[in-house]
Amino acid sequence: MGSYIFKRVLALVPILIGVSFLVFTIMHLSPGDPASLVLGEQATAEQIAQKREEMGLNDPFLVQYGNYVFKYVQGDFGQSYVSNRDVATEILSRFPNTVTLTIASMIIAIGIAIPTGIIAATKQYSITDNVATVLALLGVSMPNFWLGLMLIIGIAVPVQFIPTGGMKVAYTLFGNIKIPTLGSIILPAITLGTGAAGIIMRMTRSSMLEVVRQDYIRTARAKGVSEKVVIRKHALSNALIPIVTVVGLQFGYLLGGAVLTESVFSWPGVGRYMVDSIKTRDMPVVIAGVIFMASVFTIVNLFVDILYAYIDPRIKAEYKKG
Amino acid sequence: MKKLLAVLIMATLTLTACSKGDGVSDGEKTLKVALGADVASFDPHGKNDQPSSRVRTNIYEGLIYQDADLNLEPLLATDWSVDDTGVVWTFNLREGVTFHNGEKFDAEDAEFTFNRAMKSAEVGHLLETLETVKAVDDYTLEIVLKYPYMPLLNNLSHTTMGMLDKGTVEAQGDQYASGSNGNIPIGTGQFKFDNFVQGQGTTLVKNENYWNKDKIAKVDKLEMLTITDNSSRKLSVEAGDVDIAYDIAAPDFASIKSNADLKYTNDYDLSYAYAGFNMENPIFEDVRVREAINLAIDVDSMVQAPTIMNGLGKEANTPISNKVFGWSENVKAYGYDPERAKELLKEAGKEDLKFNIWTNENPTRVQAATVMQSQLAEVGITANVVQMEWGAYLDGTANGEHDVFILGWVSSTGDPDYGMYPLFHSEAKGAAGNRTFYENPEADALLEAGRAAGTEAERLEIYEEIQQLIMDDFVHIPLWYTSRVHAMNKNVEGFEAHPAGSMKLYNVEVVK
Repeated sequence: MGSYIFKRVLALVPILIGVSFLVFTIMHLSPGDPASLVLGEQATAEQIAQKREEMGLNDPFLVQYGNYVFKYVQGDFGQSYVSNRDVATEILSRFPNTVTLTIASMIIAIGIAIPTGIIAATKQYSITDNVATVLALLGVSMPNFWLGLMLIIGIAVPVQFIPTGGMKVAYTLFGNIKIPTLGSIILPAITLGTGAAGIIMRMTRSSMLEVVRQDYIRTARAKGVSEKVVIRKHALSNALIPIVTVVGLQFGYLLGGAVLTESVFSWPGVGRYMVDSIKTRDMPVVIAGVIFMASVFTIVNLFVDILYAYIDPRIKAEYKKG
Repeated sequence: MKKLLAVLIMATLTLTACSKGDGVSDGEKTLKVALGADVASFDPHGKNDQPSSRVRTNIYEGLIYQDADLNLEPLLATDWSVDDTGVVWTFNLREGVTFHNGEKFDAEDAEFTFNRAMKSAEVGHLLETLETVKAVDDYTLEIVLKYPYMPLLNNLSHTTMGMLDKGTVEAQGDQYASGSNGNIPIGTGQFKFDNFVQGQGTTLVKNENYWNKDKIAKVDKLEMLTITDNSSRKLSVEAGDVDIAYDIAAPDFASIKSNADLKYTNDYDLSYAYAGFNMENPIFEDVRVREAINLAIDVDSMVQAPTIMNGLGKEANTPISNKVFGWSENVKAYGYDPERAKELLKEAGKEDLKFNIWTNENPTRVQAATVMQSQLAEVGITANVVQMEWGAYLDGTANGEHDVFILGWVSSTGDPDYGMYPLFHSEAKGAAGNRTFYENPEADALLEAGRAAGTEAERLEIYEEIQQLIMDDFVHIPLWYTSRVHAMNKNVEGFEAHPAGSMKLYNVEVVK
């Protein structure tokens, strides 16, 4: 197991080099001069020339990329073109907020999706199943920003205890991790969670449907095992692998920042920051941000793979053999 | 599974318990204001953008203040004079002013501030006419210009010209006010910096030692919160989460107007929206063609259109905002006359005219371009709307690759020189502002005379002449002047909108 994890972590290096080169090239090729973007439409030609020099834009492409990589290796992610603030500090200060929101929405998503998925599967084609499937479809197809605005209008405006946006801090852990109040996180978490819930619920349903048709389930029932135990112990534990994969992917995806939800609820997360930076062509932020996201996504996937070993004894046995 | 559930329940309970304690005030007065973006830099020379200026104007003070009617008032300078040559300006500075860190403000700070600003790529252009700045004694500053330049006082009143504490800035270098290592902004204004959280906003606190006891802040704490989404910002003031919400979007205005718990201000800002011709493009060589295009476009219908301005503005009659000094009401807008447009096109022999209208992704501009396209089609002109990414748009228009483009210009000092010299002087062709590539020696001469003229009356006359000349040359399709709406709780008192968009909030409070 240890060597497997080590190999996977090592595989991160070429991924990160590839991702950084790709982003750097795209940003470099996209039209528009970053210096004039930073200075806006009222800047003079001399100011733009001065800014280009400051930003190192007059160097050849590979030299610019090389400079970046050289600095990255030393842990220097550069400074934002727009605000001159340290990029690493900016991203790291926002990341815990994104993590908190992701965890909260995953709690909501899993809490809704797995029980509904199981019920829908065990009572296939019943009214419950049909209602659950339609709701899941709604959850997946509903645009986040719209649901967010509806929740603000319907709940936050009339209810005093729930703010229309922003993150209200209840307490701070380790100086950087801010735990928000329930009132301020509930609506963004529901907004984000419903989308994920739909996807997870559908996966739970189909995975369970497949498993309950297996022979060993029939055997368990024939042995007289109670239905509750059949579903929970025999069916669910075998249906779990595809569900964990989807949950893991959704988790990684949400960690990448929920752009629209963060904007609608003024949530100080990474996603909103990235989009703002793309708009202003703030290269250092975009590149560092994408590399950061790629690493997070890969690490989450690695965790999911490790988790398999615990869910499925067969996988663990494989590693022991190898 | 059960353990996990128990942990989750515990966590939820803790969070709920904590949220109950939220919002309890200990008797201090707080004012909450919602803005559309974070402060990009607390260093006035670091970034010249409106969200930053809106916060910084409460921390810093310049030598001169431009009030909401755009009158120039003494602030950290008590008075000033200019010699007969028009190039040597002497400023007497206010004594007894201290910075937020307790240091005294004097002429050396002013000299340092201007010298630093002159080197800034962001704000240096405001001081490009300065030759030297010198502290004559502790409270006298002398500025020598390269040539007589009357709008100097307007430029010095710009929000980026706030006085800095020389000692603090020298100690922090280019990391001044960056937030790291305790580098916080230090000014002389009514509010002191308290903290800034990325994506959430800035908290300022009352400066108890403010030099003018009559203008001390009325609230103890000023929270300037970042709410980027327009609808969310509007909803936050409706729900009472904030006291004031800046910049209500045009489509949301109706719901603010009809809400009895809210009030609002609705005033013109310093911006002018226009579509410009590429004057070097042979398509537009004939003035009759440019006139015909103008007559074919019904600007007022765009101002009223719910998807464009929704009535929050009015048709521009000159190429400068109606709030700017020297704006002339004697100059007439072109009006809408499609029949005359057809005749002119026939006379010019250009009945099958085809060209592109460039716009960036700004939704208002895209909508305007689409309306223009359909109105032009009615007189037989085929216009093609080309939407571009902002960076490519700036580059393309600077290099003259366009036919017609849509942009705006903000005369942020309130002076017509700032508004018209960069847009129409031949020296500013391309990136510097003149993206129409307009060149007219008569206009050049008038624009130069306008900045050097000594008296207000002379300047008014010159600028009226310039406005008429530009209109007669049909350089632009003048679009509109924008009216901005700021919404607030009906118990907010003392708020006054500023056409430049940066409000000092010391006089504002919520009266229960």
